[in-house]
Amino acid sequence: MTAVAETLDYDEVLDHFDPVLGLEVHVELNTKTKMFCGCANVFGGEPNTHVCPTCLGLPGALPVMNARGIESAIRIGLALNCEIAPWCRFARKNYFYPDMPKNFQTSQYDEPIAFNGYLDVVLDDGEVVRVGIERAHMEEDTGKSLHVGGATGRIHGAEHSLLDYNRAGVPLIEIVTKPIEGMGHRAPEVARAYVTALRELMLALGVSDVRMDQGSMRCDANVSLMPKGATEFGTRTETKNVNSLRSVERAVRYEMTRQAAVLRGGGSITQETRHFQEADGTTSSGRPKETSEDYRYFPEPDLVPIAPSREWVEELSGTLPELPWQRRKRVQQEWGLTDEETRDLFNTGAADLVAATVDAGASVSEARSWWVQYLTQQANTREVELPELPITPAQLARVIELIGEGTLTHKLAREVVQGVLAGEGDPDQVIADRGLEVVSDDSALLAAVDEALAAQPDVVDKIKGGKVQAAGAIVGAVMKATKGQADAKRVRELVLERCQ
Amino acid sequence: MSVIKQTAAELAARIHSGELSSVDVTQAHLERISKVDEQLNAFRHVDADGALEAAAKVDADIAAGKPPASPLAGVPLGLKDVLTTQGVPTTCGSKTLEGWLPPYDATVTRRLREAGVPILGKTNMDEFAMGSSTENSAYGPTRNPWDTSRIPGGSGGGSSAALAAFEAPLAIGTDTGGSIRQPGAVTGTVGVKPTYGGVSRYGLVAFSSSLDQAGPCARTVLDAALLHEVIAGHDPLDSTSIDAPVPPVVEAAKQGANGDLTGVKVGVVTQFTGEGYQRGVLDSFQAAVEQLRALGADVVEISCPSFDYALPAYYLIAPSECSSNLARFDAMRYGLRIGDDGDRSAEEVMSLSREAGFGPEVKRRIMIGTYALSSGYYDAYYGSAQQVRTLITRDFAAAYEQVDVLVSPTTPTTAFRIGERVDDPMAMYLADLCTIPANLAGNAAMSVPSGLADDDGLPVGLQIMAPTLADDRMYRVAAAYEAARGPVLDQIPEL
Amino acid sequence: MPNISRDEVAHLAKLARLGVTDEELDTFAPQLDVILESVAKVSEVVGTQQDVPPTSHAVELTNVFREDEVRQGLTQEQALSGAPAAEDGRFRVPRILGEEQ
Repeated sequence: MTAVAETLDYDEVLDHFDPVLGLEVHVELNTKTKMFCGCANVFGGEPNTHVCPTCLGLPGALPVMNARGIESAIRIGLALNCEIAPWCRFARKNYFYPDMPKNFQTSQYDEPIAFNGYLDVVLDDGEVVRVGIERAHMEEDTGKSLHVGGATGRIHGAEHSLLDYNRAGVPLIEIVTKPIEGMGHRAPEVARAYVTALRELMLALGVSDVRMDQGSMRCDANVSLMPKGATEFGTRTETKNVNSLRSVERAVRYEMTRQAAVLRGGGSITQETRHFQEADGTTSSGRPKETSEDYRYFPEPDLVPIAPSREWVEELSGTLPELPWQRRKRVQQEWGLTDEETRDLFNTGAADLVAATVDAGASVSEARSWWVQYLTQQANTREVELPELPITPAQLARVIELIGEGTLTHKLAREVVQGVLAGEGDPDQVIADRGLEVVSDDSALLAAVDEALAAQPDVVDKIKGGKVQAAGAIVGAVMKATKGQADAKRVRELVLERCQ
Repeated sequence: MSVIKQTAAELAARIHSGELSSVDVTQAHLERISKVDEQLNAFRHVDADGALEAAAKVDADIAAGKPPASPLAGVPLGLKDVLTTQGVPTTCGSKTLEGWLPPYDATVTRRLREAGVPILGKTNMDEFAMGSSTENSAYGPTRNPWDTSRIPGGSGGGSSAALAAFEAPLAIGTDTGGSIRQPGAVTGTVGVKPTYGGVSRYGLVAFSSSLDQAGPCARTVLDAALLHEVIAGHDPLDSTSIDAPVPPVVEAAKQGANGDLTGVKVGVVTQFTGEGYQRGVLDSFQAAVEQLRALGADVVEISCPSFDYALPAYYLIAPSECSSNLARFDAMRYGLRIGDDGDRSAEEVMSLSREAGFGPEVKRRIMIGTYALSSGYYDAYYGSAQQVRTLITRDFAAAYEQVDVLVSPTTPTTAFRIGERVDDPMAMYLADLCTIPANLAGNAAMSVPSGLADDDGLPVGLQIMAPTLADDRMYRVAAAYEAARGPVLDQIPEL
Repeated sequence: MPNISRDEVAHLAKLARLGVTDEELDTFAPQLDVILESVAKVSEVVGTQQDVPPTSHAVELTNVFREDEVRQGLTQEQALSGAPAAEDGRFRVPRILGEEQ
């Protein structure tokens, strides 16, 4: 058992230190086949059924590069504003580990295919931060091990392990940032925003599923602190196993407070790998390494160099879709949104849904307000992503249409939406079943209005005396009496007519 | 003449005409193996059933009037135990792969099968092709049929001994630093290292990936050429395979056999003579050069100064690559596993298994390679060796601007005695002195018998080298020389 | 530069996951020393020459790719056919001490 590490209060951390981050994100490409052989690249499957001599590392087998994998790498590089290497190679990273069939990983080392770029990241308040990209390089994934015996199914205490190589050789792109400095208290937020932006970018490019829960996007966070005013970076730790966007932020924040406590207590930071614990948001030390790693890299002799021609790179550049930040700019202009509105639209992940709702006939402002506010709250309550809510843009557009026609009040509309979310069918079905139409029959309303007026003669006097705003009290009473199914605007009109 | 003494070309002609059956020819060789191999240990594994089945298929096709699958259809062959054969043991001469049955065929194996070549079995070799004597086989040394107290060369000593002992008319070898040519030289047989990329490496268990090349071994230049054309050609499963037509080596061998080398420019590499060379080898080489001149060749001396650094460069590059290539033999997915008692960790089991599975030469090279690639030493060792490689390539390029082919002795000495150099790795490494440059540059090179040394009566080889993808040039010169010189193997003592 | 000690040999063996006995260390250390001394010659020749790029491949090929098309691989049975131990369709290996990298 390791004792829980001491942490320093977050604000106090920033009184004394400047954090420096470095983020390494691994993205599994969604090519049809693996990077160096023709085995299917699919998640899961019966163990050891998507394997061949090459990805099993059988004696004599050889790798051949997947053209689509290279293309995706170049497209990612271009989208990250990187330079594309005119000539580069794969290398062998030599270390022994049972999940790696050849006991070397085929990876790019000092010759990445893309380098020196940046990604503009929008923070919650709309501020844009430019994160420098050191490199994006290609490598292959490892197999998966299952640890048997021992209490937790984890590696420590296991009696033996079982290996499945279906994932071995799946193409990975590792994207490494330049040191992210000067972010102060926003460092954890920048980390999350960066990974979020990267994820959106991969989706827009269509190169990866980027499912953090399935490991097709994985983040390692390097964190170090330097005393305020210092120019030399402190010793860093590398936190692995950070498997959700929220965890990225938590892990960075935790490491900052832990390291600060160590440093303030006169200690020093050990350069090490740490593991993020999802349950309590802390990080724990990995096993110290017996010897410093020496991966003995050398150029992979079984693969020939990659030399993308300028024509090819230009052609790929032409295949880039509208990238997230370009889209953001375009949408803001087209819909005439403020910075804040644009931020909310994209931060909630509602942009696609709003666009689809608008396409289905709704106004931008109605569609936006529903998705960004009410439905986002609903998604949060249910702990699902917005697109997973069981309501379609077309259904919402119908609700909005009914509001426009005066058939629904906003309050009623929310009830209709609740019905749709509860699986009661289309909006019209819900309205019929729940009897939710606005009461627009003047005679029925007049009865209610008269009743309310009779109950509050003092208010009637005020209105008659010219205090028109006093009518609100009567309208409220009528709405209450009709259980909200009346059109408030019409009620008001009737009240004023009666008091003339 | 008995069947087993005939050349592959002769056997093919007689099988295809229906005069002989492939089954009879294959059977004759299987009988020869069971008669003499106990003295030689040339074969690691004999696949009589597989060979006879393939032979019967060829016979059936011929009886049915179908054209032969290839010019060598029906002629049996010995396959070096470093190429995978589906369902047939492939050990690479190592304990670690004892009992392993590959689930796939090497491309060379597949091409042989498709060509109707019955595979008699797998030939012995130095463990993972590391050695020059076949003494590093975990399954005992192979002996030289010329003198069974001597080595048959290495690493492909099983293939060369099988040819010299008439156990097979054809064999496949692999050549990383001379493992086809040096065994050819010391057994009086022909051995060819094609241009790197000429023959697929898919299924060739890698020793040093950037140097390894499979090639034909035979008793005549024409037979080697015929086999060369069966196994060569582009393979999409090998990224380093050259997508270009196979050089017309059979045509060149036939053209050369007319004995005229008028207009051919031959360069004698000055670095490969003199001190350290056996007198009988040098004399034989001189005679061979005179012979080429007599055939009309224009002979000049060529200096390739960087060749002096080929041996050290090789003994850095090959071990470096091998240290990585052999990492996969870790007892996790296949191969020998030692010490798995339920208590020991995977790491401990790996170490114990590799300790037990590898012989001393393999361990030495893995450690040298590990050292040379280490961060502090990379530049001085591996990096420099790769620069030497560039220098050697440049020397070759300059030489081939002046001459068509280069010649040298294949090896500095004739076959040495078994045990003589086992404890002296550096002395052993010298056997590859002349053959290594062609591997480093990826060029073509071959060894053709140049008679017996007058000092010890053992076979000597003439090495002929040619530029990348000009393999046909050396075949022409070798065939002309062979025709003029006459056979060598007819002088081999009976076993 | 070399002069390789017994301890260094032991370290190399460990890096290469090679068990070695004390006796082997005694034999290997002087042998490796001689070999490394001899091969160190390579740095002499290039040390004096400028503009010598390293050669990693014997043939000058680039951009050798394959199409992203699924190719028949091995069955689970074939994959596990050479395994020293297997369980539930997976390779069974002893407990692993080190961390994943």
